[in-house]
Amino acid sequence: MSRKSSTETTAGAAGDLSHRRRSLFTVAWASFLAASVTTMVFFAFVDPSPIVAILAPTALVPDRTTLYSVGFLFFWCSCAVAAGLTAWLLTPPDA
Amino acid sequence: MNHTNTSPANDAAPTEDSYYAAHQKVYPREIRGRFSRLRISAAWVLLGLFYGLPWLTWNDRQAILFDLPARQFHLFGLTLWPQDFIFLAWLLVIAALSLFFFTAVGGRLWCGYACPQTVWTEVFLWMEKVTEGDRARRMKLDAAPWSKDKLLRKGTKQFLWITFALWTGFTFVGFFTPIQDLAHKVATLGLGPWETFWTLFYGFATYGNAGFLREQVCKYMCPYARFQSAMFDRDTLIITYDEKRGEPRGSRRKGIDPRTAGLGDCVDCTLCVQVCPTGIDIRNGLQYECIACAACIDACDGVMDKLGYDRGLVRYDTQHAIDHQKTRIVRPRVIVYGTLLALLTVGLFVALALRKPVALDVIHDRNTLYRTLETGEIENVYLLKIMNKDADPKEFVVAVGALDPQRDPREYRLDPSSPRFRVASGQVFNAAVRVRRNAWDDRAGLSGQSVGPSEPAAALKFTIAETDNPKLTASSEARFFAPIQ
Repeated sequence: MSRKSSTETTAGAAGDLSHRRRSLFTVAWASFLAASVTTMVFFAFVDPSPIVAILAPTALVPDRTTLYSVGFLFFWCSCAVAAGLTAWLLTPPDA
Repeated sequence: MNHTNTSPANDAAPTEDSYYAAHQKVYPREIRGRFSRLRISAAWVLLGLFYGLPWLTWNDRQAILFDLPARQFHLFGLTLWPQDFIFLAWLLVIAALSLFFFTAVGGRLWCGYACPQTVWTEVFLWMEKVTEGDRARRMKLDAAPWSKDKLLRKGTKQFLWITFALWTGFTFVGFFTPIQDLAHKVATLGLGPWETFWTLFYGFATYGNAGFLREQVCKYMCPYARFQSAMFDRDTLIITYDEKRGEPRGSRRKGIDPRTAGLGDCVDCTLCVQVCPTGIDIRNGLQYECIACAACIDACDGVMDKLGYDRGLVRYDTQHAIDHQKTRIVRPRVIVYGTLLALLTVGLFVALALRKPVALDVIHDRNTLYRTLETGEIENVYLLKIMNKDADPKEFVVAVGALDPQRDPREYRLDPSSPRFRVASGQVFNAAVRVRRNAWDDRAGLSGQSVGPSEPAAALKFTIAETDNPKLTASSEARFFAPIQ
């Protein structure tokens, strides 16, 4: 590539991403974006504290910050599973 | 990954992997000029807003506070509730349309001047420059073996980066939790587990994105970078190299007329490439990696000035202008984006101004559908949630009736008859009310229409009106249940 000669870049260890690592990052990032939007819309319409109070009447209901945070991490995990499966199934089986 | 495999195909990347060229670290050279001054000013303003706004107080309350635990958003004097989610969605649509509009007219202005990725990378690069020196020194330092000097420089850089990233994470959390309390908690080491988590999470994201990933965020992670070209046409402002004027490129002795030497204006000094934060060569034409930061314009203008040539070999221009055709600023897509943007923006302000400071939610009692009283009446119990979004306390009087009195002319009575409730500012008041109806006119209904046996549930409408200002009302629907006869 002619570009390489003129850019004078040197290979750096930081951020040298292989295909697999790139896939991992993409899955984590795409699911993060999807989970952020889902969390925002979901909790705008649903207040989690009364639901938890009904589901576990005897337990001490955690504050909303905890519920939102756990909710976000849950959405992130679900989205990551979907994105990860998609990425995995799109890889040809013999690769 | 297992690298001991003897197969040579492992090194020569298989075709599936060939899209992924190994990343090479970009060492952008710093440059001074018109556009870098503009970019740095924009960074100052935006970072100032980010780090400063949470500390601003308004009416004894943090001016901008997205109080998630209380489910209220405070924007100066305005308090938004979950019921006002439409405004947030509306605002996001406006933001998206502005992005389309400005992209269609001015290209990737967002990327070059306003994107948090650009702004924070600018700061992190500055810290790198302060600790490790300019581009050449940084490259030399990275290539050099570890020494006391290298350790000291790299260590100082990391210290600055990490401190700044933590401060960023702290500020981010400060938009959601009152920042003064938060600062107090930090000082007394009393930060809650989730506050700590989100501070570290956002801090780490800042550190990783601005310190290490940098242009890779734009190239591989940013969805906007992928679809922005859809908003482009030949009248969009882009950063472009004037190939007709520049080629054939080549070095020359100072003072000679390039035309006599068969050369264009480009001296092939590669400065435009060295300053590029994404490591591209703008002379290869418009590329998706270009974030339109205009660093190459500043670099090239400086060289042109030194050589006594006209500025603008690399410049902001449209494809039409480069091709010596007429540029049309007003064109269908600009008109469509602009009109929609204007309508939605005006609409938002009108809707906000007309927004009712009161809301009512009615929930039917969960435990008992209905009760038949000794008097022969049927009674239903409801929970009213009266919300006062205003800054002052208000008193409301409740009224009830059939949703459609034409179809259902029966009388619904509240017990007590006109209950009044006083609701403090910014509070939701929960009130239980009883509604009664005579049982005996159920069978046929007074009007003789079939509202009786086949329809055990009737539709009701609750209305609340402010006692001092009866024009301020809110209403909500609910169902009234009666036994099937």
